[in-house]
Amino acid sequence: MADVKTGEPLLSVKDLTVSFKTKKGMAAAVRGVSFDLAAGESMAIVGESGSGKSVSSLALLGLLPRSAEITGSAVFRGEELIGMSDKKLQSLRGRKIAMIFQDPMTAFNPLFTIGDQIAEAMEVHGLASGKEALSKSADLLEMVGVPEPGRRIHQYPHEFSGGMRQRAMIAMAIANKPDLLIADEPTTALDVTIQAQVMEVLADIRGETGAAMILITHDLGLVAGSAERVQVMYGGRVFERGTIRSIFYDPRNPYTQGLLSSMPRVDNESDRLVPIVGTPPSLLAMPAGCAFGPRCQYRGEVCGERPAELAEVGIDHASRCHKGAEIPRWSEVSA
Amino acid sequence: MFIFAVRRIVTAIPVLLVATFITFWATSAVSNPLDRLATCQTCSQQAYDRLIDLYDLDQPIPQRYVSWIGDFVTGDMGQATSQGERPVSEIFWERGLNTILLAAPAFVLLTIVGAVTGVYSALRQYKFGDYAVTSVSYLGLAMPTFFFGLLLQVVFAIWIPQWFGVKPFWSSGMHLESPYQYLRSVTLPVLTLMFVLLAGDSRFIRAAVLDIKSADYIRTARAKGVSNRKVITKHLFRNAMIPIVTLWSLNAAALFSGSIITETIFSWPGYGRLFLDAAFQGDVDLTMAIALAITVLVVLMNLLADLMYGVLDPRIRYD
Amino acid sequence: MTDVIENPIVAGASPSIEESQGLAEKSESVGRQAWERFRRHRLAIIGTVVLIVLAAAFWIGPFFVSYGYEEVNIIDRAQGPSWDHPFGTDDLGRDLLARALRGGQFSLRIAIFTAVLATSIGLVMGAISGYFAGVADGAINFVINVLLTLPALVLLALLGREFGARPNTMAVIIALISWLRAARLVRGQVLSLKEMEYVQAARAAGAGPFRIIRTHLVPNLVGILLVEVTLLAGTAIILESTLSFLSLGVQPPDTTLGTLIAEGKSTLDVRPSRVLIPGGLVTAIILSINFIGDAMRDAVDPKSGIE
Ligand SMILES: Nc1ncnc2c1ncn2[C@@H]1O[C@H](COP(=O)(O)OP(=O)(O)O)[C@@H](O)[C@H]1O
Ligand SMILES: [Mg+2]
Repeated sequence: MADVKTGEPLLSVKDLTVSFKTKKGMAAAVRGVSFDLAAGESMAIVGESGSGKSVSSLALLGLLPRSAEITGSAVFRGEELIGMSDKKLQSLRGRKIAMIFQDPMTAFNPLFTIGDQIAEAMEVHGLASGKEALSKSADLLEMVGVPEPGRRIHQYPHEFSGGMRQRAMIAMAIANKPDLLIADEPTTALDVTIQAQVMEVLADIRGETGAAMILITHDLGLVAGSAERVQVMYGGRVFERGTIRSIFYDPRNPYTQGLLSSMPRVDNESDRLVPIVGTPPSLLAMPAGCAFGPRCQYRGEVCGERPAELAEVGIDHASRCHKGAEIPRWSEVSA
Repeated sequence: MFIFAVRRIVTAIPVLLVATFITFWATSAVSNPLDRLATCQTCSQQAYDRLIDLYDLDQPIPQRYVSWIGDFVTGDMGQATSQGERPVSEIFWERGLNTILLAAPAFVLLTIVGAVTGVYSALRQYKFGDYAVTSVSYLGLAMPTFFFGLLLQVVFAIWIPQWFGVKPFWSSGMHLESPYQYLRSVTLPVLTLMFVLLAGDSRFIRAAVLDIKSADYIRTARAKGVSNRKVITKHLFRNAMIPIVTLWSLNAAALFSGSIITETIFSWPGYGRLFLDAAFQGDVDLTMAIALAITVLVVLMNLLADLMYGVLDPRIRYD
Repeated sequence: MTDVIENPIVAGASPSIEESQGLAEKSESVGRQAWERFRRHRLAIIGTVVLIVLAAAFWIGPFFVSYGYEEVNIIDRAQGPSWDHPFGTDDLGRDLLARALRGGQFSLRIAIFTAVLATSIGLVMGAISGYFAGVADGAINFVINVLLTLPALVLLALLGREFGARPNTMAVIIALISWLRAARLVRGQVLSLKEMEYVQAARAAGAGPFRIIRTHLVPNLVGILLVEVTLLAGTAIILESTLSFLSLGVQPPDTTLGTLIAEGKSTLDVRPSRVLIPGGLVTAIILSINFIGDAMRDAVDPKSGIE
């Protein structure tokens, strides 16, 4: 791709913030998120539920309700997405950037057949229509491993199992060969065995189409095989970012370490899961200092005073923590 | 689907039987056609005997009910004591048609206007249009039908009488001489009949559409690049049809009880006032005919609504 | 039976601020939060004030009016509003202000009595049919279907005529056909609460059905039932005034707002105020009640979010 040659990232997000107007005041759901994504690259955004992962991705496509105020910049293939006209955004959505949503139960319209809904994705962009679109839908279903696609396109969402529905969702997303796939918790609603199958389908599809991907999940375990880089989010901020290697083997942020300890791992010798105590802060009552402070075992005085800055801790690796150097390395913690 | 319909009708029969028996019993127990003769000096014993014979007044009420059913299913609707003993079947069709002339336009308008204002209000949530619709709905819900009817009369009988030719309370009645006359005489009664229901309908649809609006599949459609207009006209409307159909069956029943009051206020010669008068004079045959007509209609509307759900919603199966 | 999937209209599942708030403010009592949410509804506050003012006028006002509601005065017959008779007089020369206050008092009394009674019936019926299921559920469901099928207004009228049209009797009669929605709400709640752990634990510990209903289910229902009482009071006023309007309600010399409207309608052309004043009062009362009811529903169940 041309973009790769010029070294321009496919998507470049700078200082994205999203606040919702609510009856009780402004709720800042995303507080300054930045990242670059190269064409064909895969990046994961990880964090507990409520950390602002979905909101940041919906903000890119202009899919948030009007109560959302968005600032910052997101340049996709040279074009600014934030503040882009509705018409232009529409032509990008589903065409250049496609989304895969969490809950396949509710993400399809119950009153239209799966085939119709996949075909619609092509029709709105004028890429196919009528019979042709429908037969292409069948081909797409075949690609994502739905058996008997010719019959399946005439069925309604409720006639599909959860896993099949999520495959259909992926088929719909890749219908127009987008440059970027945003998969928001694509497997959260599914059984563990089905999860693995769906992730495999996603990987295959990306291999075939070369699309870049942002994988959003609260499950670090899912990330290992599917992404090259990871951003860990908490309270609307990026707390740590790095390559898969650095995040898994050398996490510097107490929050990332907490996430890892609460995750079952083959190499976890201690064999016990340590959940992070406490709950994420309310958007309307964010701590004045570090958002993770109240739950952090290493917190000190500064942590209550002001938020920490995201600081480089290695090559392509940054962490947001006041206590940077004092945090024990993961090799010591997990041993 | 056919089997489903038959089964629904069959299961409705016990309910119908009990409901009609209660109506029969109440009408017979509360008033007695003989009361009218009691104050009549010139009436002969024969008149008494004839009435007793005609209405089986010498038998206990349950037996009278059974013989009424027997007559009814063989096509004999009986005679209306409260209407000079005219055959019920005659009055039934004559007055029924008049009520339909009032209720049918009200039903159609109610369905359309309720859906349009409800959807509009939901799509413009918290904007001026929504506030306007919501305010009017609140007012509609707070105004008893009869008061709204009288308000219309105050305005159109006293302030601008030339529009509809209404005279206060004794009103304009029904005019069928020409389509124009019909429209002129039916407008205010229809408005009265539908206003209160409209408020409820509109709010119901608004709430339903607000739910649909925030549904995941709407977001999915937008994420595919479907235009806002098409999201509304295709995905949202189709889903909103389901609550709209729910209202059909509810409205049909409500329109009939509403028509009792509306017809009284506007001297509309339909079932409404006739029904009350008949019940009060112990005119069982007429009361029962009307009660049954209304109930059967309601049961059929419910059935129709259920069948419509099946057409609209592929998740519903009849088996 | 139709095989309807739970709720064809699926609400969006994105967690709201209110919910995330709920976690952070656990210390605040549930009642306080509900009150906070209620207070945000300006219209409900206005409705409460209007209702209090009206109720005070209906009960205390008569002491300050120089005429009794039954006081006939042939000389001052059929007068328009004046300094002496602010609302005018009726055909018997009775002071319409005094009568409006009396009528308002009766209308409100009937409404409140009806609402409480109907909700209680609904509570019992709903709790029984939800808790015991099976035969009891089927029987109550049948009763509900029958009641839905009956020509309610005509039956009310007949009953009213048979059992005399005194305020309390009217309230009972109206309540007999108004408990259906309450029963359905309670039944739904009971069915879902029944499956919850603490109820099952109580059952395992050997608590009898009535004890469980009383100590575990009823407290959960209080909010829902308060809302229902409020909204039903509005419905009851409409029904009562409609019956009174058809001259089937409270009998003279006593009166309700509906009766006053009925009496005024024959002179609608010359003195519309006789209809407009009591009608306006009815509308104001119901409007206030509905505002309060909506805000309460929102306070009890923030997700209903009608605003
Ligand atoms: N429309 C909205 N109005 C107000 N707050 C919202 C809205 N959508 C999301 N939020 C809030 O924003 C925060 C981040 O949500 P989200 O991005 O969905 O989290 P997640 O990381 O689980 O995807 C949450 O606290 C959520 O309550
Ligand atoms: Mg999310």
